[in-house]
Amino acid sequence: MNARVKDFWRYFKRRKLAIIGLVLVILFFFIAIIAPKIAPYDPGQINVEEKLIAPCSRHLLGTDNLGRDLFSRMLYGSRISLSVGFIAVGISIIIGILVGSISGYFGGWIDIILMRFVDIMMCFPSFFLVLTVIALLGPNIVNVMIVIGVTSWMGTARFVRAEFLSLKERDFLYAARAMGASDTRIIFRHLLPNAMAPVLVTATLGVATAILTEAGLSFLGIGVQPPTPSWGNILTEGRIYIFDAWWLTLFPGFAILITVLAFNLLGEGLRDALDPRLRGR
Amino acid sequence: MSQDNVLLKVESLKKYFQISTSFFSDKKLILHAVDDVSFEMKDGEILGIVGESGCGKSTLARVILALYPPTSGKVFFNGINIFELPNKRLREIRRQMQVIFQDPYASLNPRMSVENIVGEPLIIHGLAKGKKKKEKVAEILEKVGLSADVMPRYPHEFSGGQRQRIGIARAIIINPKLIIADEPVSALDVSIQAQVINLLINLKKEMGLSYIIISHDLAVIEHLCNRIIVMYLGKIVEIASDETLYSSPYHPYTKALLSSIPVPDPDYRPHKISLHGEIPSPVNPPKGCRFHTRCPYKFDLCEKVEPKLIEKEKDHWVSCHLDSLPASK
Repeated sequence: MNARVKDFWRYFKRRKLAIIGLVLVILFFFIAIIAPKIAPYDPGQINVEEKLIAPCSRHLLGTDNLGRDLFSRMLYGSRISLSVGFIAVGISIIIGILVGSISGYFGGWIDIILMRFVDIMMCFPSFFLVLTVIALLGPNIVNVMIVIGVTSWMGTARFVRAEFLSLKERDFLYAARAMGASDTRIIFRHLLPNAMAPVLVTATLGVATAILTEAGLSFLGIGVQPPTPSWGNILTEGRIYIFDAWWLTLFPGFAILITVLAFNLLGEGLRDALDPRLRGR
Repeated sequence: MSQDNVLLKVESLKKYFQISTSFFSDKKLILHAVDDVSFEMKDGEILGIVGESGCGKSTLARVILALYPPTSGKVFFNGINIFELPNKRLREIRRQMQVIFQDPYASLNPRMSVENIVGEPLIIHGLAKGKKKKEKVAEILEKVGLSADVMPRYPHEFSGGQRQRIGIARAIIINPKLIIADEPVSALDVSIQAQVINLLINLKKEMGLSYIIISHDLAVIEHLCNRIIVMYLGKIVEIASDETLYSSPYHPYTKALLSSIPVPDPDYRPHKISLHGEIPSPVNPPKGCRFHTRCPYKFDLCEKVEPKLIEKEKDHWVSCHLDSLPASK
């Protein structure tokens, strides 16, 4: 695998924007992990005497209407945003691979039924689907992850199915069958490893979408519930004070923008570097 | 043909593919890839199957390997009809029947190391694991002319000839009886072709293998095979031992094929039998003898009645009407 990784890296590192995306993603990860170590205050600490202070040396990004330190809240919020992004995408990838594999490998009427189901799922505007389900299940962070996951797997399923269909006619698959390999072995050893490249790309782009969806849900008040800080609900709470305390909306908004951008740049860079047809450009 | 030590027996095997023209039309087109093919093969034999591209030889190989389900017919391996076996038994049979593919770039999984590719049959059949598997893989790699150091490497690091050797190593590691090689050398350079052919011959001697070699290259077939089947449009037109076929071919199609072999002599002026026209579509094969549209000797019977495969001389089977022409030339 080494030579492949080297080859991939050679193409990937040529893309400056993708490198920037990668660096930002790693940076955000790092921040999320060490958040408790670097946060100057407890994110839940209410101090009414110090409410709505503009960014200054004691409160790097200012404080909110309850006097909580915005910088600390943002740091903790990054943990929520990233974990929602990753777990939701994890769920969606698992479902997508499962459905796509079954559909692509077995074909026939199973394929027809599963793919029509995918079509139906794709007909719903996903944000409204998420809204409805959250409204039924009740808003909390676990539900948000699950719902984002189960409403975003269709793209992955289609990609995996398409890869399987083209791989199925390759000689090494016939060779595996002639050897007497079982269906599970063929799927897990021969098909999936060769179908992972587009999955990786959709996953990376999916994290960006999931973070955005979470922020949107929290903004509407049905995502992560206060007092747990998430970028989305910090934004909502700050909305009321937008003319008096600009920092409450600007910084979380900016954080969301940068994170989503970083994941998108990384995802696009991966796609270009993994697809030999796009390498020349 | 005698009944003793028959390794493989194919009985009126048919494989049709259905191609639907469009989603809205009910019209179904049937592609007759393999149409009523029967033959027998003895243990230790090297059987060649030749024909133009599109004559169904690769499909025939894949049906015999049970990679495609047959439309009808039977394939007996060691007297057992492989199409009637439950999956578990079929896998045991697969251990004795292996395959080598034409394109060494497509026949190896790009994400697996050589060790895992060659050792996979051992794992599947539970024959060896871990260190034992590694030893066995090293032994087989040396047998096919590669060194054991290539084990951790990946297929894209090798040349076509080396990859074909890896493919051969994978096929022989579980000591099969029969190897079906679908155009084993046609994707390789001429210089490498000879090496791979010699490797196949040596392995046969060493391991007591039987081969079915499928090729469009008559020179390769002549070099390797004891007995040859000539196919045209999904049907067998002639079966004969290699000496008989090359010295006294009977069927006009075989004659035409043989006369097309290039001779490395610039002064040689061959009497070429050139065939006119294209090979007809296997979707609408001609009535009567399938070759009549291009046959230089055709007469009225050929267009109406399909000739049967008859044993003309001992072990020389031909499917042609020319014999029954009253004033035979």
